[in-house]
Amino acid sequence: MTASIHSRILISALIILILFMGLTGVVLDKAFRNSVENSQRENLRTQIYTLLATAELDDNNQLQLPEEITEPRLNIAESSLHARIITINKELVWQSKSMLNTNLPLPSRIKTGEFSFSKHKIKQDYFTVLNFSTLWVTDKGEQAYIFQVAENKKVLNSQIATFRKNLWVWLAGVSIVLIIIQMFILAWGLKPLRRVADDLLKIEKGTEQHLSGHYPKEIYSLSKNLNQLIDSSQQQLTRYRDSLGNMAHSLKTPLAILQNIIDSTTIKQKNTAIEQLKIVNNIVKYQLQRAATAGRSQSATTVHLLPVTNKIISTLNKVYKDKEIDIHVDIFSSLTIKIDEGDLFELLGNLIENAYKWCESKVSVSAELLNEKIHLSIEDNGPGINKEERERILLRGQRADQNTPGHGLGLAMVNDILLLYKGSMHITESTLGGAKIIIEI
Amino acid sequence: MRVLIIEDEPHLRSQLQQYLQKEGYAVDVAEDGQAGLYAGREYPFDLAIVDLGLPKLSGIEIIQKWREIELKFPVLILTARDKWQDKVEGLEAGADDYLVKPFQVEELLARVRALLRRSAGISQPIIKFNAVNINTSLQSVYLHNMQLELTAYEYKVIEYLAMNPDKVISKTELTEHIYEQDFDRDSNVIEVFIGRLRKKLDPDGKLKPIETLRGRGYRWNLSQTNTPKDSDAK
Repeated sequence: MTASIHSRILISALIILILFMGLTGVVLDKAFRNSVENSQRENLRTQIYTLLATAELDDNNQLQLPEEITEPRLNIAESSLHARIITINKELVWQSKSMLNTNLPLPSRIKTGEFSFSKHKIKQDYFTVLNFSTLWVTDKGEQAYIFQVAENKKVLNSQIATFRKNLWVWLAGVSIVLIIIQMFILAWGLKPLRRVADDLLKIEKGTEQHLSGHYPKEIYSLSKNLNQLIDSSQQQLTRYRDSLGNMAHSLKTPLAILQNIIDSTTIKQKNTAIEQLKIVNNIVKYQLQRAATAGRSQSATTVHLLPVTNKIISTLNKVYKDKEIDIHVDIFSSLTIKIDEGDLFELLGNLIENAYKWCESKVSVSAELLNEKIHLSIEDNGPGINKEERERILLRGQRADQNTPGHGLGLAMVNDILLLYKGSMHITESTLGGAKIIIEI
Repeated sequence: MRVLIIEDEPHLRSQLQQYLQKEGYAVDVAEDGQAGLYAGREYPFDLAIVDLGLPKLSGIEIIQKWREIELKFPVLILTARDKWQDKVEGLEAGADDYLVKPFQVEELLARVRALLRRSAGISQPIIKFNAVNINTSLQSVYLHNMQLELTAYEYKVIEYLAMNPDKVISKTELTEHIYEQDFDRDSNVIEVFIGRLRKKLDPDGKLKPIETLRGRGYRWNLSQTNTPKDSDAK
């Protein structure tokens, strides 16, 4: 058995969810890191501007900064923020108190008025360093200074780590909630299918006859078709049972007769035995035909009436060559009928052969379409069928009583096929003088 | 009249053979499609009885192949399948009649007789030639309405000649159509039969029903006098 629809949907949803959440996490993580790094750079820039604003020239034309800087971290030894000012010749002019024991790297070439970022490892820590070169106008002329601000990346990394931790916890939480919701949706969505399965089980157990529940429109037609299938197979089963019952019942009489006369040798008794064997044979033939016909109406296709009629007539013309029968066919070549081809052959074959068998010399076959039904007439100029026999013939299909020779078996088979296709048969007198059989199908 | 039976079921084959031989037919049998096809092509049969479901080659194929090479003898199909589509298929292939199993021997014999008559262009079971009447159903011959005493072989000769009127029939052809394949033949026997038949059919020498054409064979010289409604058809 393959995986259930439930597990298929659940597993695929789970895979998609994990991929989606993973990708979302990575994108958010990257965006947050960029944003934090940008904000650190902005902060360092602000520090440079603050230092530029605070710096002043003393009487000796030396650049001086106050004892206490506005940014408190610069005043605390070994804090995370450091700053210093050097001349273009790399001579230290000023450095923050926080720079105790810390040595910032000297910048490589830098243009005046430009900011330059770099990353450096100092002792064990990583620092983001911002260098800014500026010209200071003194009495002696212009003096170039380099302002350096550096911030330990530990702060930034810890912010990122906290964010990352929160992010993944939340994503995992949301995923679990989504999976649970998904499971509820699936259980609810597939409930009608489970109901169909349960109802089918009930039918299998015999506690129910049909799928009787109210189903959503997607499976309504499925349940309708299943009900039709159940009906048709039940009908077929009934037919088989009836056929077997009828067969067993109707075989018993001729068999009993045969048993009684089996040892006899007189010609009369021998003829009786032959007659009874004929009956047994007819019953077998009829019931086999019924069994073969039953249920075939489902596979009916559209068949042209005229070619089948012509084939049967040319066959019968050969067989009944001696009778030199005058046959008249009046069927439009475009006339079609929705029936299994084999059933049409049986229907026409039996009817036309009966006409050939009983006629004096004339047979007429005609068909027309009236009110979306085919009206088929088969006439002959034979002795005709009297009223009592007509009724017996029409009932025979239901009673499966095959004891009477004559028009019997063939017409009983026709009647049976007609029952299956919801058609009807009437027997009347023909203007030709004999019987006229009218089929409406 | 010489008949070929192609039937694979041994009991039915030998039953058919016996019944037909009892009726005075020369009967050859084949137990499968290929042997049957060969026999039909090689020997001059007057009729073939062919079962449809045969090993090696189906009955339908045999009939089609015979008709392709213009073998025209009548063919009676035996079949266990009684569907109309099967019957139509068989007759479209070139068969002339069908019989559904199980069948009564009388029915089979009636069909065989009817087919033989039809192939000779005679539509009634009684063939009338003024003074001589031949009843093919009873296998008896009447001269001025008096039944003649005939042996089975004498009847066979008279029936074959009468069913092929105005045609010169050689001794060989006559022998082939009244004897089975492995029968020990002696052409003098035919002359003896013809001599005896002339005496029985024409005791006072006025009728001259059988003409001898020296070196060529015999010819039935009486004209048929049947009218269409002489007897019941089928």
